[in-house]
Amino acid sequence: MRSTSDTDARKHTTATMLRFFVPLLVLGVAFFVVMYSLTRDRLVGVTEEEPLRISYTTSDIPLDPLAEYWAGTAAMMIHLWPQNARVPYGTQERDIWVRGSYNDREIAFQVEFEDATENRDVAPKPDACAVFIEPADSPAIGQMMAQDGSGNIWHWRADWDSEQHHNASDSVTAVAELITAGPGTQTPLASQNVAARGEYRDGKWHVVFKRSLSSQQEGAIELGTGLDPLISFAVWDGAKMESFAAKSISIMRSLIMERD
Amino acid sequence: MRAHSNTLAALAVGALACTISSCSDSDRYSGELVGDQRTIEVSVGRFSYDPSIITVKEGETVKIKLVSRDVTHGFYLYDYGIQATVDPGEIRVIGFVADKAGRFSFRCSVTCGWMHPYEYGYLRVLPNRRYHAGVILIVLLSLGSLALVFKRTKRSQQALFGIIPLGWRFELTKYKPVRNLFKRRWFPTVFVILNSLIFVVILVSALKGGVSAGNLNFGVMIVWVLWWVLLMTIFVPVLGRFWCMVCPFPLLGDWLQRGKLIGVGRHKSWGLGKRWPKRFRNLWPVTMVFFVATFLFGFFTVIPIATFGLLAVVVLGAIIVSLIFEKRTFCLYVCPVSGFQGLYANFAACEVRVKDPAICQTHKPKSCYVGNEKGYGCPWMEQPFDLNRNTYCGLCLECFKTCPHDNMALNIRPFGTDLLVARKRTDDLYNRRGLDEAFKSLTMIGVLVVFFLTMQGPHGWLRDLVSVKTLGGYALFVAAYTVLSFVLVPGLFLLVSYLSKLASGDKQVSLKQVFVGFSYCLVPLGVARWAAFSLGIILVNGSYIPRVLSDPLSVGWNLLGTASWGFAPFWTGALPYLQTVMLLAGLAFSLEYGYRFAGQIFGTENEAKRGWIPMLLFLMGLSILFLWLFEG
Amino acid sequence: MLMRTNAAAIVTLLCLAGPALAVSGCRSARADAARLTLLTRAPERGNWSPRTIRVQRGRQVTIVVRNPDTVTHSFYLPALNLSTGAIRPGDVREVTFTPEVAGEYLFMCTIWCSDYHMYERGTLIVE
Repeated sequence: MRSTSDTDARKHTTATMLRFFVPLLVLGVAFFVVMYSLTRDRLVGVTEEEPLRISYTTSDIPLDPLAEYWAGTAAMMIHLWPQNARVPYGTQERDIWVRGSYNDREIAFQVEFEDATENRDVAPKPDACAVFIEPADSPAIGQMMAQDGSGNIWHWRADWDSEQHHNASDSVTAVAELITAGPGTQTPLASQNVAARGEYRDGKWHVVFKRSLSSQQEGAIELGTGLDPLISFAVWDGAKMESFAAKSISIMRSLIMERD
Repeated sequence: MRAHSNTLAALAVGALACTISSCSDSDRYSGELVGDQRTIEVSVGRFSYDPSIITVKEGETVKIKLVSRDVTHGFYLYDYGIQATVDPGEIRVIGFVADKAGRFSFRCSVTCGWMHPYEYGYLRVLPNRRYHAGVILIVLLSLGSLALVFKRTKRSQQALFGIIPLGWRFELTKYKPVRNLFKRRWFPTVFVILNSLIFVVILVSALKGGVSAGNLNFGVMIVWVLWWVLLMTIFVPVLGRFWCMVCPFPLLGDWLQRGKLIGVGRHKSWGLGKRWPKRFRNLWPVTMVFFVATFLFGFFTVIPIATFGLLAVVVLGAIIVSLIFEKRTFCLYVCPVSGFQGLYANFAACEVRVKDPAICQTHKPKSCYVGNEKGYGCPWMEQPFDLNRNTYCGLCLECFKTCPHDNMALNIRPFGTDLLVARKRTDDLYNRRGLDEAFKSLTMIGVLVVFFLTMQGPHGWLRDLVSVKTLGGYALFVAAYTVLSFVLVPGLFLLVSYLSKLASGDKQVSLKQVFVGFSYCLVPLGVARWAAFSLGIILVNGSYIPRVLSDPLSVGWNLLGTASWGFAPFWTGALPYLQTVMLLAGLAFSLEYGYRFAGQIFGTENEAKRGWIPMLLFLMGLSILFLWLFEG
Repeated sequence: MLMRTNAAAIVTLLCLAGPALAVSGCRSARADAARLTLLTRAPERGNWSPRTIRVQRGRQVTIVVRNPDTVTHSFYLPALNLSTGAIRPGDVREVTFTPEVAGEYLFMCTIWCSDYHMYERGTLIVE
């Protein structure tokens, strides 16, 4: 049978133990809470990029950038920033208007941007425009330096887009279809399945990119409703000696192909 | 019979050693080999390399194509000294001939985030001869020690390694200038004040540093690179609780308690002056405080304001405890570093002891304990006249000042003699071998393993857990770490202790006695491993120190002209050899003392010899594990 | 003896208070109008500070760009062709220029420093 002094001693010890350990634990937890919150991301100046929504159509989609069809499609204004991750850096900010459309067979984008001069010659530099699409789960750095070959670039250049191609049924060589395969490297796809055409009018370029919706070839990114890949655009102004990395580029945003 | 079991043991161990050695020789070389050029694609991102362990064959030409997964990173390869940086978007090609065999760490050389100093990977150039050699040396050392145990004479038992007499002492205070210095009231207080000044700069710097990179912050670097390394490599192993002599934490508390900074004021502490509860007058509280503090090392070793928080809490705690409890209760029973300092000080080569105990026997009152007009009674609440262990002596030198017979001495002595002290000469409940010290010794092993793996290991996922990338991951880490340190390691040791008890045939000894007694074997080994780990910190991060000294407050000064010094590790080639030598030395001491512990634990000499074998094998295996961790 | 201990006490207090005062003194010395301090940080840790800089047309100004962050940044103002090159953590770089034309100019970081690198932008307003 335990004596009362034993129980008292035990209680005293427990009390002392609590008096020692509880503040210690409280301190530890407080320290943790403070440091945890200090080390969390606190975004400043970051905005969610609005998705680019494109609609389904039953009609054929024209390659001609000046076709009436495009005037009837909703346009989204996208701001382009100077390329700022690799030399040579971009220097220009510009706004572009993007329209998009898809039917059962093809998907197409029309890009409209202002340009004081029409530069179709390889010298000094040609005007150019590009679309970059990568899978939805790509890391943010993929925007600039996609390293796993999962992104596609459709690169149109004015000097590739000459009169003779306008009358041909395909102007495939006006655009290069590329996959990004590592920092600074782009590899052309085995067979080029993107068509593009550009028209210059009233101080503006209008460029259409078109690709078949389902592309069987290896390396081509899968496009379809529900996939919501990430998309961005780039523009080069030849008159300002822009080429390679010296361009304006938009921040990646989701491409939503709406089923209506 | 004895020789037979010896041979069997040797064979078994040899086989085990070979197995372990060959296990680590993976036949899976990295990358692709074309001719004798091996190309490996490596990506680096916060905070690891992928692949994190690169294995190549000696003599091959290695080409590493390094890309970044997120921001600018660097690459510094130990021993080879190759350095490169890689910006996001480029491929950095690093080429060299792998003409040196072994395991070489490589780490990031460009600040890339908070955990940057821990961003490591390993290059293994096979065959890893020096690792194999190390294993063989460990086995030879262990078996050699065992052979000596069986051949030992009575006389050689009184000498460490048969050469250094356990009783050898060299009295430093036999020199009058030293003795006079120790008697001055301003010594060591003036150095405490100096340290306080540095400490204030550390606090200001760490606070101002906020969430910037710790490796560029004066506070973080001076505390975790300079002070910590000095503590673990020189102060504690050689000088015992030397840091406690000059530590700034108790300065304000002492001042408040005593009413005077340097002179002799109140003998009874101002404030509540309570006595620390008997039940906690051991290493348990400080073991817990230290362990809980290490939960947060992912913050305070790398983020300036976390260092500030930790130091502020500790110094405020010191002041508050001084106002509630008497004298140096904080230093003894609350300070987080008191645990390993106290325990590992038993290994040190310095001690404060009385010169002639006969004088003390007839001397009343005991000035060293109660104090007089020349000084305070022992603030560490020891009985200097009866002091026989370093554990709770903080080298404050008050007893030198108070003793009217000039009977205190500071001795240099062989390493580790305190480990043989089972209890005080008078039957003292507190200052003796116990479970608290056993657990401190054992948990320091678990902590070391986790620290090494996180801070100098290739495992990025472990760093993610420790830096609280996700709350769930952190909870997992805390749980696993606690289980490892408090359950697995002690559990394994309990098993070995049990085997030892079985093997000895001693029916009267308790398992607890075996467990506690043998736990002191882990002190020399632990001291050596912590020193080795810390060496790896200073050689690699030392170049940051001149930089922070030039601009301690990050305002743009350049006091020493070194503010823009880059990252420049040094002697990384010598590091594995130095660490292995330390390991062997630690093992040697552990074995030397371990057998003596066996003699203290078990009843007869034969029982001790038999009981020692499992423990010896365990220490050998543990050393091989450590070697594998550091070099394998 | 009393004097000595009091002196020691005063010296100690000064030693403890000194560095704190020194730091605050240094801070106020930087209120010179022609030198502006700009902190570069990743957008998830504060972005540029300040994000909007105002300067006077025709007056020479030095922007001192400091990196208190944990990753490498840089400062780039394309319209006026100002660039500091890479600024490693802890480093400081300066750009000196005299803006002639009033307007708003975009400046940004040019080293991929974060998932939100594209948002590390600010505005220089020349009045």
